[in-house]
Amino acid sequence: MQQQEDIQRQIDLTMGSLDGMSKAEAPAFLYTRLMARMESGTDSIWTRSLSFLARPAVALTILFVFLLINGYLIMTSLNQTEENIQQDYVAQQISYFDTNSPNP
Amino acid sequence: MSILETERLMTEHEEKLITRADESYLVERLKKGDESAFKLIVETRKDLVFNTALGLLQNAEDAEDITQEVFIKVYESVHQFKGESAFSTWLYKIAVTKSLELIRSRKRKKRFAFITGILGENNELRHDPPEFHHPGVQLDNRERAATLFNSISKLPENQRVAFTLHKVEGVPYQEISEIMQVSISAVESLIHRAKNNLRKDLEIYYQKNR
Repeated sequence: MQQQEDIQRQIDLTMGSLDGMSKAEAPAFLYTRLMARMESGTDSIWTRSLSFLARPAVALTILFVFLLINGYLIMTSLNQTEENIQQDYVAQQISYFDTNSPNP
Repeated sequence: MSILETERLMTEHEEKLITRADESYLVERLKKGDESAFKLIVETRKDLVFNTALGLLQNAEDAEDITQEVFIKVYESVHQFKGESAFSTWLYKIAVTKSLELIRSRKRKKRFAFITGILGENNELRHDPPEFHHPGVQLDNRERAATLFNSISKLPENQRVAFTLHKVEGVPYQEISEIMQVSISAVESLIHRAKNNLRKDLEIYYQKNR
């Protein structure tokens, strides 16, 4: 019981530890460094492009579109293959018929 | 207000004397590409942005970096500021957004910390932040405040923002609601829940560290 009261007292003191705090001041010469950063233009078009592409939403969208195109191409090629097999089969049948018919 | 007068305000660091009307005037000058207006805005509002970022990020270097990014954003997109809210509210919004972006990015990196830990030198765990001591905290509260900041860093994003803005930056509920684009009652609820969660976390901490 005493321990619990002690813990509660510690919590109350900690919760009030930010009371009366003053605000932090920005480092000196911030404006000078800011201007240097703006003038140096470290964020080139490539850096910006890469950081844009590295965003999870963009990266996942690109991956999804890539997989979608892949899936479409595979399905198309499979259909084409089936059609080709059918065409080959028909062609073989015709040629077989042609070679075996004495007088077509 | 003449340039000389605004320069006087800047040199005397009397940022509180810069009224909303003065701010609108400065913003209009900045929209026209006036660099002295930009300098004045930076000099009078840098502490506001830095203190906000520091409270959220709990790292002075990161806070300075974000402060610079905030003012770069202000310079680049001042034309988007329509004056519907106070300029300081707009600054807070950008500072909070930028800080949260960095926190999220750090969390993503932390998820892979075990990999970098294996690859890093001496297997040191480089992603655990050190204890944070806010420079504005009174000396006798230093250790307790560090414990509290550690608990604050575990809060959900919204509660963390609302609590930090109110407690560290002293922003009133009305302005927090404008910054976070929620109702005042939602802000009250967020801060209430934040306090409850902090108490729970501190209870666990003090039970372990008796």
